[in-house]
Amino acid sequence: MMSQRGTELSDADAREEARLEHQTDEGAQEMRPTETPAEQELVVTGMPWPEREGDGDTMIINMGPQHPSTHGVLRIMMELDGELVLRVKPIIGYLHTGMEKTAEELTYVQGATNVTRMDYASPLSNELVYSMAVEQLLDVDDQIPERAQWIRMLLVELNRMSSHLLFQATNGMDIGAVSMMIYGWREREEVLRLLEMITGLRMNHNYIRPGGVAADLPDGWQEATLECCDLVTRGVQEYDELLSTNPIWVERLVGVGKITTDQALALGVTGPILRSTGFPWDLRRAQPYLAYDDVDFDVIYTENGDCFDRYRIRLYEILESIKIVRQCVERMPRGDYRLQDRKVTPPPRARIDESMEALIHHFKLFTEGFKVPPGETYAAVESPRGEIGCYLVSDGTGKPVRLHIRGPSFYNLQSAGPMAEGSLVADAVAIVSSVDPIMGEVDR
Amino acid sequence: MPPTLRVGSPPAPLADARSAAEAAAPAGEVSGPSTRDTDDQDENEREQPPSTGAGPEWEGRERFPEALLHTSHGQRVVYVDGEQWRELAQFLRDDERYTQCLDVTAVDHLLDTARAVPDGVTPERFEVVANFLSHPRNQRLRAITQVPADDPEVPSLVEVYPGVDFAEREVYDLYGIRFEGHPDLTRILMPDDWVGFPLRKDDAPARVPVTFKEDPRPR
Repeated sequence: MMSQRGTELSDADAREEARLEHQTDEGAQEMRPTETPAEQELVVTGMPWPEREGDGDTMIINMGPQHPSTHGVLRIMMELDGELVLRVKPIIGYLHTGMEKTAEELTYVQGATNVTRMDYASPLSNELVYSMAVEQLLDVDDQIPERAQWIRMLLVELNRMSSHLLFQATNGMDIGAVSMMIYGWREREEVLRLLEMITGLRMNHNYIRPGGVAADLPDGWQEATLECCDLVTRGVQEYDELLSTNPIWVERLVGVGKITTDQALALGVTGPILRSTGFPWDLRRAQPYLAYDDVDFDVIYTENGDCFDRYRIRLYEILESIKIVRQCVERMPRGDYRLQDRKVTPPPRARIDESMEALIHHFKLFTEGFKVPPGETYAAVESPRGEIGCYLVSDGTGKPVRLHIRGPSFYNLQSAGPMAEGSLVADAVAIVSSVDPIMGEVDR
Repeated sequence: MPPTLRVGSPPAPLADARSAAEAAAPAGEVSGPSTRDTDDQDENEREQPPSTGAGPEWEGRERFPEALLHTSHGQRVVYVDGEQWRELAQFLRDDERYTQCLDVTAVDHLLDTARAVPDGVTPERFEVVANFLSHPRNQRLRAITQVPADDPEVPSLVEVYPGVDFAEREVYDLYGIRFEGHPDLTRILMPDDWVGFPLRKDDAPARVPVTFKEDPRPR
């Protein structure tokens, strides 16, 4: 019955919309020229080109939404004066799939499957922040077993490694170091293989769930993890050797796309971009969650705030993550991997065959989910790209009233404008690449 | 008309924040990436305990006597009037060293049966929510304002925190809440010609009817 879906616009609604359209700049997402461009002189012969005068003879060009260096479907409009970038405006929404609307139709059990698809390069951070928000509303955030916390930390750090390795690969590709792309993907694949061994999937794991994690670690995970750490360490050393002192790489990145701490803070920028400006802010250290106050690691930061620093920070953060992962392997506590509250986590498979209650609990959890007391909360963790936050509002039913993910890429992308203005077109590619936006998270 | 985002000269508190962060982390050698030692930080944390679950006091009690402080799961939430929205942000940034506005979003409470609003707040259909973070104090604060359905408009925070540009456009796009003073209030996620505001509760999902070429047609 199509006619029942949605309410037809009443007259009052139509008037309201007309009024809104009048009052806003509706229909103007795109960049408009600063002034009417002067009539161009056509040059058809092989004569020397007439010399340019900087008299506002500018051109607006589009980069994307289908462009090899825009990391998905990002479209960037640039106003150029010759090779010089005057203005930059990122235009987003090409990957908007209404995930926040979808979340309002899903139970809290199903919600993790939804959020994990937002930042598809680091899905476990999304799951973690969502689970933390749900647990806060359920008031069970202090009862999560220690082992579950450490498993979460292990996985999030492995995910940080894979995400930064992906950055190394795509950054190399954007800047023209194509062999770097192959190396980055190669090591990332090793991490993904390990994640597949632990969670069952390479990406979009749905492994961290409200109440704990989906399953315990498999047999032999220690050996596999340590082997992976060795491989990635070797890889990082290789990249460092290949790129960090490579004159072409250095010339291409040092001093490009500078941003200051004040600018970054004002623009809501977090993560490696903020740390590259000499501001050592990392939520893992500043507001510890999970067991981060229990492990030894360093917060990497640099002073220059340019593309080279952002590359370097992400490279060295891989090593810090490896440090944490090794400590997780060494010190993984025993115990439950999830909360033993049958209203939140399902019973073990074996119990379902022998216990009526277990069967009922299992059935209830996977059909209607659990109810969450009314309230609102904001949870935040440090994802590979910066602070990822989850604002969750519940009205006491089994589905959230509002689930909002504060995607770090969404805010970081705004810094591409100030960074690229005044630089060359070729540098704009390097700058967008160094922001490392994941469009799934930007558009949600 | 110019839709680009420009960052003006930084307000003074940001400089404070930076020096505080530097004090917390003694700078290493300039050439290589610096690191921050775990032990140093432990001391700093003892000096400045993270107070996300701080008591019911808040900084703006004298300045905003009508604003209500509420604690939600250990997080401080301030309910303010729409007229004080920008004033509050200005106060938080300039006087209280809240260095970042991390997020602006909205909630539609049209179908909400059990709303958790503290006493003294008149619930309206929409709520606009902003999350502030102070780096020097390592503290968070959430501000919520009620927005009526018949005239959904709040002052924009772009002048105070330029980073909320995209976020406010998103709220406008998905909820139809206007931000007075925003320099480029256009749709951001949905297409320009989209009718309606998708995240409103009375905006049904998948409202676009499926039509087939040359349909209907007698067989």
